[in-house]
Amino acid sequence: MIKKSVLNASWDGKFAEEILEDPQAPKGLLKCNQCGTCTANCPAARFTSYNPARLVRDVLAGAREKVLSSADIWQCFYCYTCHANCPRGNSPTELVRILRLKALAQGHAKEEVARFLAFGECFAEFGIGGMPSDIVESHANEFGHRWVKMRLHIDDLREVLGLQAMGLPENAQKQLKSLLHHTGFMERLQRLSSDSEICQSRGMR
Amino acid sequence: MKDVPTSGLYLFKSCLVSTEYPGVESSLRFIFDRLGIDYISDPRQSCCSGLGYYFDVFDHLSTVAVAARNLGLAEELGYRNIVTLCATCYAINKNSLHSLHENPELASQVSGILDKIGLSYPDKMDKNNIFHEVDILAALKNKIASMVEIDFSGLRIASHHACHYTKVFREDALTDPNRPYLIDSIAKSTGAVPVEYAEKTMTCGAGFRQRHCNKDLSLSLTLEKLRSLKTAGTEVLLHMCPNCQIQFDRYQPVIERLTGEQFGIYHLQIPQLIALSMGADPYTVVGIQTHSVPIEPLLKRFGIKVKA
Repeated sequence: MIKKSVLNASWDGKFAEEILEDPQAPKGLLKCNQCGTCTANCPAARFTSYNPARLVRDVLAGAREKVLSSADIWQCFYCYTCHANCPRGNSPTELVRILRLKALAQGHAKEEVARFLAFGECFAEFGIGGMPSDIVESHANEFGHRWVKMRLHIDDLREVLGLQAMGLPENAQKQLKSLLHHTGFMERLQRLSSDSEICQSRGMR
Repeated sequence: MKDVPTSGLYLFKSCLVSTEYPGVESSLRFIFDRLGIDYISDPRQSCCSGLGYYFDVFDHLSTVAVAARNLGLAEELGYRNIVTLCATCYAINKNSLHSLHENPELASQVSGILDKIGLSYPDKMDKNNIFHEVDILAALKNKIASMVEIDFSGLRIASHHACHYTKVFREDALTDPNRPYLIDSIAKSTGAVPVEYAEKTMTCGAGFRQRHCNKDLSLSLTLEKLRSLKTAGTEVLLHMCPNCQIQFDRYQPVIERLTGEQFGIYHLQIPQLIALSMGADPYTVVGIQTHSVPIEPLLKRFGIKVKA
């Protein structure tokens, strides 16, 4: 039987060009010759169906919808092993970052970031990122009493170690928050949080 | 080989060091104080936003603007050599400067934003001003060797070189991402003996979102590394990034419970080992009380006084 090729899916001949318009796009994207060095060294490819060489091929083939709706782009570890070893100056991991943001902008996969929005909110309030309460709770279960006690007394511990208090002086914090308004980050948080569901955690209690 | 400065250092605070392993920062300060290194800590510096960036919550402009604000503060103080305690802080700051230099449109947008809130743009900074603690420690290793009080001879150590140091800007790392040896070479100044292991170059498994959304996947990688470390006879795994340290120190006991396998490996970030060897107190400097895998049995072996 003849197998369905990726090109049978709806395709967009301008997809790679559109990605290259992003200044963050890897310079060697179009130079990929499918040598497979990225996949051979990729920890996600070792354990999941994610395959960076195939992802690059799909992008170059214009398989926009397939790529943007794919669960595989969310399996990358951002470990940059592909990036460090690509002989053509391509970077599948930086491509993944662009694809994930594109997917989010088109309303795909909001649930993939929903639980991490708290990091951004905490950053804007205190100048230091924080974990959402469901993750803290799960850490408390996993890491146990010793960790919970440590986190409860972190300010005292820091004092014992002769370290500055965490958190920014009031004026610096105001400036930082204002900066995040100007970059559109506060609006972005709003946009990402609207009608998103809580991450359906895979393999997590 | 890049020039590594040992003065005018802006100690760049890390969110994960601050909240999980604050002893890493106090250990580094202890070493710098002992060696007479000129550095500064700035309460106005914010976290780099890197976790948020790699959780895909932060957009590029916001992360670059946050970096520019911090780097502008450092420049204004005249402490232009950024020293990070975390590999992601290193990569994020470097990448942000890279973007600002490559993309004049982005640079003028960020400069405009900083101007509006009364801050200065880091004009004189480039990506070569960004260092990781291992760059500095490597430059100081002979001095360190001459100040060792506790000799760790015979201690079998292995290293985990953080991906965001070795792999993001490969050409600027002082070691090959495929055969990393920088941490090992620093640790040798304490007498410790480096061992090699099969999975040395593989990522720790944190993978930012993966630790939280794909826990089985995340821990599968860590388990592979732990097995390979055990096979090599590793006693201490040395880190250079708090996120990797969490993945091993916090999750090793979890993995031991889940698999029934015992690893019994200690986890320290490299400044902690160096500080201990230079006679630092385990609790008031090195902060071992924040670790999940207790360090006391190791320290007792080398005659360091610990609480019962």
